[in-house]
Order: sequence, then structure tokens, then C-alpha cells
Amino acid sequence: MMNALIADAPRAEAGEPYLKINGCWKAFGEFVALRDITLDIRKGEFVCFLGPSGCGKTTLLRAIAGLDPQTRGTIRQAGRDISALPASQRDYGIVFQSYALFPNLTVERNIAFGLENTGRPKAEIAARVAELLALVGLPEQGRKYPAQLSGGQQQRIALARAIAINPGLLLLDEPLSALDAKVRVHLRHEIKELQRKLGVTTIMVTHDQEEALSMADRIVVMNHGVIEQVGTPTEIYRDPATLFVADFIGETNKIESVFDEGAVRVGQATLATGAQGLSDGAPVTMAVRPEDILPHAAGHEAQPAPNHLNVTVTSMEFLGSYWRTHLTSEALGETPLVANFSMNAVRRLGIEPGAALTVELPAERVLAFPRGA
Amino acid sequence: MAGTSTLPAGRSVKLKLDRDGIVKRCFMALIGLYLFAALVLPLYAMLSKSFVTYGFDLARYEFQVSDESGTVWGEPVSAASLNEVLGKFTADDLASSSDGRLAVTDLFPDFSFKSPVKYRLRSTTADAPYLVGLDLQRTTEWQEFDSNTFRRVNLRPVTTVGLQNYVDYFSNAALFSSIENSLFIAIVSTVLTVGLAFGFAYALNRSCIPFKGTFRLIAMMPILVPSLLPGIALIYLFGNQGFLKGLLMGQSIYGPLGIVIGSVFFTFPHALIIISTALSIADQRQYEAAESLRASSWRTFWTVTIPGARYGLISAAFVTFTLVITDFGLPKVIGGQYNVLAIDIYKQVIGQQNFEMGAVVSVVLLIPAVFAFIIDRQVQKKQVSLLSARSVPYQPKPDRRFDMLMLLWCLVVAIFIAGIIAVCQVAALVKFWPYDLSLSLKNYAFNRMDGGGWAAYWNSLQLAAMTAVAGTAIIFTGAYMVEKVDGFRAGRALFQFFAMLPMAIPGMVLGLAYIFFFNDPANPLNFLYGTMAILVISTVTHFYTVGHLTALTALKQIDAEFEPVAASLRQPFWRLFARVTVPVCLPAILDISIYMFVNAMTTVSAVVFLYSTHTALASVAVLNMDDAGDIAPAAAMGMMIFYTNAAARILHAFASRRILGRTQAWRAR
Repeated sequence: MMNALIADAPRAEAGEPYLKINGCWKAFGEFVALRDITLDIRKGEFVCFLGPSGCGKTTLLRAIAGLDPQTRGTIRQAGRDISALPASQRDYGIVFQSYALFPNLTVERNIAFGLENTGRPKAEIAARVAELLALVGLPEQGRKYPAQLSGGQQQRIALARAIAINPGLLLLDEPLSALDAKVRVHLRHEIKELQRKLGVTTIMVTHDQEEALSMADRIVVMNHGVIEQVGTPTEIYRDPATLFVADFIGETNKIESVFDEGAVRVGQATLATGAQGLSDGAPVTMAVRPEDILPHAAGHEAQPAPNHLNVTVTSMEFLGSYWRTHLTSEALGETPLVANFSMNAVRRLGIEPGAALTVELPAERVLAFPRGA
Repeated sequence: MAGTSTLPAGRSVKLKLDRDGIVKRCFMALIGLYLFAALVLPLYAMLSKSFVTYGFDLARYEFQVSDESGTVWGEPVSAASLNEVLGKFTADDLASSSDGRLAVTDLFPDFSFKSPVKYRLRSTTADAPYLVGLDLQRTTEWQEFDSNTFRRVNLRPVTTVGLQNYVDYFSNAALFSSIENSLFIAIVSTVLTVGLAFGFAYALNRSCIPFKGTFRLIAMMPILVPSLLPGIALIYLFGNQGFLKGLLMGQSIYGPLGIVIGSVFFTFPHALIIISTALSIADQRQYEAAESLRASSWRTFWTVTIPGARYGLISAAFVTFTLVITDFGLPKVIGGQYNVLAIDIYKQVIGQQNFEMGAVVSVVLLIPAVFAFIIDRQVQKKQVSLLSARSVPYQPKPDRRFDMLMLLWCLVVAIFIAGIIAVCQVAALVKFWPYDLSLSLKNYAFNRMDGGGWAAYWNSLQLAAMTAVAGTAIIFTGAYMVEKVDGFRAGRALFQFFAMLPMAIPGMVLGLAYIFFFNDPANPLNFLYGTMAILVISTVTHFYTVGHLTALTALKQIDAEFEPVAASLRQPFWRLFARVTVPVCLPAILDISIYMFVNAMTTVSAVVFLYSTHTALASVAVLNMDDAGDIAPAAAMGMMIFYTNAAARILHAFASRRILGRTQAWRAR
């Protein structure tokens, strides 16, 4: 989506971006895995490639790493054209989901692997290894073998090994996917902190939206080999550029409707929307997030206020911090709505299955996307 | 959606080759070249040889004869019409071999070397050579000879490329019957071996019998001896002077009976390993399900056990079949007058010097071997998919009656195997069977017999050590290049094909192919002929595939991301290879080396064509001493091979444990 890219033009920052991907395609025989990818990444940025499996995010990372070169297009890093350089002549460190730690070498030897054979004196290498072990919070573990460490510890060693040679670019290929949920959340934070401390430009591939939203400075959402949207986590979440993004990130109600003079018509209801650039009478899909639906006490007038709907609660699920509530509205016809109501609201308004109430769909939170696009 | 939706025209981006890429490709090319020169070219030489026939073509020569004065010449007459008139040579007489000669004077019944009559000869075509004395003539000009010179003129055969050799082969009843014999022996031996091995493997995996470790050890012993050793033991037991001869009730051990019994002995461990692996991957849950459905144990056996092991059984059957049909040593020792294909090759080449016919028999022998190989590969691929990480290993429960039966089965097989080895040992130590049974070491005084003496033993040891070291290095490096090089797909596929090929090539065929290829004076590699080097090359090549597969399996278990990580750390691949890949694969590397060593000690088939007087081998010496009637020394030499391999095995186990303890500390958690 080129318009999404242009909307997200680099902020006021002079000079060439650190990594510049231009018109990249990747074909595996007949199958096209990347279509015309153009993307700039600034120095020191933490960027996540996010998308469902098969969207091309790993393919793009492998092209940047020189492991599986793009079929067409160029990649420039720090002003240098690296499009056709083999991996060994590029400048990056990489961490894989499998960690790829050398099992027969101790943790120290693993970290030192990229430092040895470079003419550095032994003492300097030892000092650097100790420094890195401290940096990843495992100062005492240097003499152990990888198999003696937990998954999270192994991942940190892999990280230390990757940054040992001070690479200009850090590539993380689903680094947290193989870990337990608890460890994952903890490591997310640690990796982010480490990245900030080092200021190294970082690209992380993930299919976990929570991971991307919590770690990235900018997220590149991909689908079917194209970039759907590039933006900060809040931009992506609040203003999804496409229905795919709205649906993939977070949760959303999707309702088929028709656009008409700054509003969408669904059944008998007309809901004002902030969406622009759509022609009158165009078929659209309206999207509104469950947490953007605001509950009010049931009104009794037959015609509620603009963007208000009279609804009936059909069922509720308790999800800890909120209630997931299924609603139906006569005005919308058959289409059900899902809304997330806080514990407070549920208690205050006496919301329970079968109860009637009025909900508000704020105009600026009602999104509309052209159908069939 | 912005931009085009189809790939824009232009050239695909190709990564520049870095030093690593170049070095890896060089290595692969080098080892690929080795396989090409040591396998593909010799086989090609053999194949093309099998289509060549030699014969005298009389229509291509013309003669003129003068009168007694030597000045008045008669009409030119072709040799063919001369022969027609005389009826001297039949079509069979005109068939020849590569160094055949035909004296022209045979076409002139009144020829006398003292007569003043002169003769003229010319070839009508350029490719009709003849000899004058030792000088080869290839001219279509008339040449004049006095009668004394004329008697030293010989026609040389012309070569024809075609199927004549095959036609001859298939119309020769004696040769053709060998196909039947080979198939008969192979099929009977396969059925017996697979049946016995299945019972044995079943006992080891599915019963609660004691001494499983001992049984397994005994069952593996035949791997350590040449395939012809059971033949010697059988001669001692059932031969003309054998003390159990009466048991045969008039049947002779020399022939199919002996070959089958010996074949069961030497193929047993091969079949056992495969079937035992297949049975060991059983899933306990399937048996629990069968029990909960109240299936009888008989029904469970046929609906769960057999289907689960069927790929193993098929694979074992084809491996056994191939081993038997390509084996040469055993039928040589105990086959008597019973001809099989492998013997025919030997007889044609060594006995009759008819290399072309040897090549034809080789091609015939290749067919079942290649066929079995292809089916086995298909089955092996399916076998892998049966394995599941979530399987629960089967735990046998004690069952008195069943366990007794299984114990009996194992005992019978173990006594048979250990008995054969024991008979050889006794034969080697006894002074003069069966008349003087006192013990002595005189049979070990190999230097007093033909066959190469102790030097042959030391040569074998040297061959085995060199094969183990060089073979393992070549095979492992080659496998690494196949498995861990990016891109270069066509080259890797070709290499992989070359690496799989040796398994389909019987040793006899390889050996004969080497004669054709390396003994050709025009070949720049000709200097290798008759050296220890060619024995090492042939042995490494002969046993290449199993080592290659072992290495590949080990390499596949290594994380594919090690190479990218090392490249991102800007380290050359060889550093990763030396520091990580080789140490991690050390168990597999040791397995390959012991496999090469043991096989180099026992192999006969490929090397029997290639050894020279100063590179005689122990395994060949067993054969030759047996041939010369020195059966006791042959048994003694066979036992030397057994001791050596057993010692190597023990040493290997010991070294493995030490090296693993030292370098594989990381395996312990």
C-alpha cells in the first residue's frame, strides 16, 4: 500500500536512512513471496516485521541478511549497496528462533567465536566476553555448555554472541517464539532495554502482535508478500490503513455496509465515520473495535442520539479484567456486535444477559474500508 | 495496491561468491571428480567393452599370387572367396579376442616358405590391419612379400560394436543357467535369513529373554570375517572328510546347499540390524489399543507388528538378496561345479582372459543389484516417515512359554554362528584334520604357503588403516558439502547421485571396471595399476554409500543455522567445520571409520582383480590358499582377519568412549 508508506514519510531527520530497501521482489519458481517492497529504516530504530505465517516477513529478513537474496531490487546499508554481497561481507548480527548455539563450545567460547581469529589479543577477548555476559545478565554462566542453560538463558547468550562484534544491524528471527509465555514477556523487555542501551538498528520478525506492539518503534505489517502498513504501534492500532491491518492487529467488529455522505449505512442505522476518501454509495466494510464501544444506560426514545444504538445483551464471557459482551441490535438486523465492557461499567449499568442498553460508537472510532479491495 | 503485480523483467540478483563459497565448491568439485574417475569412468569403460566384439573380416583383404618366376601375377582374389573355396575357417573360427591372430598362409594350402612364389596383400578398407612380423600395417596399398616373409604375415581382428556378446551370452546354456542358479540361491538365502533374523530381532525387542547383549554380540560376529570363511567351516564339517558328512544323507555340501548355509551366516547380521531397528520403533500405545479392543495376540501380531515392521522386512530382504547375488567368495570356496554369476565373471576374466564376456556377465549382474537398490531406497524413504517423536517405546512383559521359545530360537542361531567360527578356529589350530588332532600353530606359518604369506596380512592391515583414514575424510567432507552448501543445486544433486551409486555396484563389477579403466595404457592414471593406492581407491569407492548416508544423517541433525551464524560473525566455514561440525559429528565419524576398516579387511570381490604380487591381501590369501588345497592355513588366515577386526572393534568402542567423554561433555545435562 503505497499511500500508507507515503503517509508515514520519515519524520524530520536529515540524511539517508540507515537501511534502504528499494523495489525488492522475491520469487521461488512460480510463487512470488515478496512484491515490490520499498522500506526505509532509520539508524537506531527498532522495527518489527509483523504478519501471519507465509506473509514474507522472514523472506525479507533473509534477503537483508544475504542468506536468500531478493530476485529483484536493491538493498543499501549505511550508504553501501549490499544487494549482491554474501552474508560474510555484510554487517549484521543475527539471532534465530533455534538460538543456533554451538553445543560443544562453552558459553564463553560461543560468545568469543566471532572475536577470535581477528587478531585481537586473548585478554581483550576475555574482557569483552565478560562484559557481554554481564550485559545480558548472566555473568556467572561462562563456563557452562548451552545444554546446561534454560531456553531464556540460551537466547540471551545467542544475543550476546550476535552483538559481540558490534554489528551495525541486529536481526532477530522470531527470537522469542520457542520460549514459555512468562519468560517471553520478561525477555521482551530485556531485549528492548539492551537495544536502547546499545542504540543498534534492529529488525525483529514476529507473528505475535503483542510482541510487536510492546517492543517496536515502528511496525511493518505484511501480508501476501506486500507491506500493508508501516507505522508506530499506536498508529497501526488506532488508524489501521487497511481492513487486513484492522483485523490482524487486535480485534474488530466487521460489518458490511454502504458509505453515504460521511457516514455508513447498516440496516436501518446510519453511523457517522471519520473515514475519508470514499465515494457515496460505495460498498464498504465498517470496522469498530470492541473496546471502542461505550455502554450507556438504556434510553427509552425510539430514535437514539447520533451514533447510538439500542441493543440487547445475548451472552457474556468473563475475561478477568473485562467482560466480553455479545450484543444484537434491531437497527443492525442480524449482525451481532462484540463489545468489551469494564467490570465497573457492568456493575454500574447492571449489564447481564437479556438486559437492554444503549451503546455509543464514537464517529472517530468508526472506520470504513472499501470492500473488495 | 500500488506497483505492478508481476515480477518486473530483468536479471535476478545473484550473490557474489565469497572465499567460502569458492572453497566449498572447489572441495565438492574435487570429491565429485574423485567419484567420477573412480566410479563413473570405469563403469563406462566396462559398459562400452561389453559391446565390443573382435573378429577377422576376410572380405577386407585381397591377395595376388605370382607364378614360380615371381613376375607373372594372377588375378586379385579376396580372402573371403579363398576361404569359401577351401572351407577352412567357419564363422566361429573367425570370432576372436582383442589379441587374436590369423596366419594368412592357412588360406594357401600349397604354400611353402621355400618356394619362389611371391605374394601380394592389400587391405580394401583402412580399418583392416595386419601384422608383418611384429609391425602393424594399416595401408590399402599393395604390399609384396616373398614366401619366407609371407609366412610371418598375420591378419588382426577388427572391432565391431554391437550386441553380439549379449547374443552369445544368452545363447550359451552353461552361462545362462548361472542366472537361474544365482536367483535361486539368492531367493532361498533371503527367505531363510530374513525369517531367522526376524525371529531373533523379535526375541531381542519383544521378549524378556536373558543374555540379550551376548546374543546381539554373537549375531554381529559374521561381519568381522570374509564371506568365504563359513565355506571353509562347512567343508570341515560336511566336506569329503567332514565328521558330520553323514547328516547330509548323501547330499553334497559343495553346491547350492553349502552356498545357502554360508550365505545365511554372513548376511544374518545385516538383516538383523535392519529388522531390529524396525521393531525397536514400535509404539506401546498401539499395543495397548489392540489389547483394549480384545484382539488376540496372534491377531495383534499380524495387524500391528508386521505392518509396523514391513518396511524393515522389505529392506532387509533386498539387502540380503543383493549381498548374496553379488557375493563371490562363498561360491568360489564351496560352490563346486555350481556356477553363479559372480563366479562366471571371475572365470571369464581370470580363467579365460575373455574380458568382454566378463563385462557382459557384469552388466547382467548389475541388473538385479540396481533393481534391488532402487526398491530399497524407495522403502527407506517411507520408513523414516513412520517415526514419530511422540511414540511411547514398547515395553515387553514376561511370558514364560513365549520367552522359552524365543530363547530357544536365539540359542539355535547363536550356536550356528558361534559354531562356524569355532570350527574355523579349531581347524586353524589342529595339526592335520581329521587324522592328527593335536594342536599346533603350524597353520599360521603363512610364509610357507602360496597366497602371499604374512606380507599379505600386513598389506591388508595397511589397506584397512588407509581406507579408514582416507575414506572417512573424503566421505565426511563430501557429505558436508552436499548438506551444507547453499545454492549450486544441480551440482549437489549430481554429487548426491554419484555418492549413492556405489551401493548398487557389486564389488566384482567394480573390480572388473577398474581393470578396463586403469589398465588402459592410454589412461594417464595407468600408473596406479597394481599399487596399494588402487586397492584403497576401489575399497573406499565400493563402501562409499553407507558411510555417506551415516555422515548425512549426522549432519542433518545439526542446526542448519550454524553456517549463517558463522557467516554473520564473518568467520570462514572451515573454522566452524573444525571447531563445531567435526566435534559434534565425532561419533558418526568414528562409526564410518570402523565400518571402512572392517570391510577393507574382509572384502574379496573388488580387490581380487586388482591386487598384484607385492600387494596381496589376507582375504585374497584365504581364497588362494583354499584354492591350492591349503584349507587349514586358509582358516587360520581367516581367523587372523577375525582377531584383527574384533580387536579394532574393541579399540573403537574404547576410543569412542574416551573421546566422547573428553569432547562431548556438553551432551551431559
